[in-house]
Amino acid sequence: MSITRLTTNGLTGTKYDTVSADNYYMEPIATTLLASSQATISFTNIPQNYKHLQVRAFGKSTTTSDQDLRWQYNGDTSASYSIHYLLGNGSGAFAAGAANNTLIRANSTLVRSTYTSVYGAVVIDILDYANPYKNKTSRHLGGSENNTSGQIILDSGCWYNTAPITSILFYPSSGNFDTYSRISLYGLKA
Amino acid sequence: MAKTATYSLIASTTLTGTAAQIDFNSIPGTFTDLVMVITGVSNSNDNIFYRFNGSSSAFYSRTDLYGTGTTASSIRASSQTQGRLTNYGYPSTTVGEQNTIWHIMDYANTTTYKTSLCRSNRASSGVDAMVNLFSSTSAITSISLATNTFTGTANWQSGTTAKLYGIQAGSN
Repeated sequence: MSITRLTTNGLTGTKYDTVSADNYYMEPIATTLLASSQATISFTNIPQNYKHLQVRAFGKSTTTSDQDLRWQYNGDTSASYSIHYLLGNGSGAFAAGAANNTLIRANSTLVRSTYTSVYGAVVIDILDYANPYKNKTSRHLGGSENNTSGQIILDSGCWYNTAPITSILFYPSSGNFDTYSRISLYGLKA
Repeated sequence: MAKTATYSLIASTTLTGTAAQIDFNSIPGTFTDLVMVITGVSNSNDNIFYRFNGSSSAFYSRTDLYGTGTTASSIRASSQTQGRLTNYGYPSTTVGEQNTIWHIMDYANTTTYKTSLCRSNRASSGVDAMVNLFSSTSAITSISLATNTFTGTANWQSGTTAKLYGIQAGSN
């Protein structure tokens, strides 16, 4: 990264502000905000010029039970994913995993329709998504809380495919995304 | 179209003395999510509490997943008069021993309640992953942070930092 700006920050000495020289570390790529319920949310033609992707989701299910946020890459529906999670539900900590899965998921992050104003949340980091030599690993922090019960999850997923990720399809484990659900995609530069 | 950089610093506080609470007021409603990064220093091993918009109503609830080095478990609390970000990953009297990264989603949305996620880390004590709910549809315009409750006598100590960032989503 070339230095194109030199600043002093008021302290003794000179500070080379390479951060300010290229202030595009995190850029919004696209957002889907639902005006009505919908079965899936997809991002296609994802630009390949970032280092990592981040997904920020704020979602709700149309069903009467909490649902997982699920996703697949590049239209791949084969058993080429694995997942692991650590979950707390207010009573205890639980862990589980699955190999040879057909999807990646963030557990119970879409709040049931019963709680009309409550939405779940998840932040997903997809690392080295455009690297053609690596399988694709993601980490997720997510949860839902409705003042009666809640779940907080730390989980990870892997797509056993070295192809760069060019599309992501999101969908609930059951039912549809409810109105005002939002999924935002960001690119992080190196 | 040129991209607009996001993850913008809205405000930053670094304490050079003690403070009963740290306030971020007049938060602009132009972003989609907020992220706050806290490195806390307390009187003596005190938790981080928060309030939105100065509200002391019983609107706060949380579910916490924690690890202590010997135990992993989970607790929750409902209808609290203040929110909480730590349980075992709480600040100590040592500068730089603790941090909290807190994601406040859709903070300016006037249709939904406010869900937030945080990780709190203190290597000498434990870690927390927490989901919080503020059961109000009001947009968040201020955030207050206290250590050992808003009604207690403990203060934030010198060396405490809190930085508030705004993240703007792209267009549909």
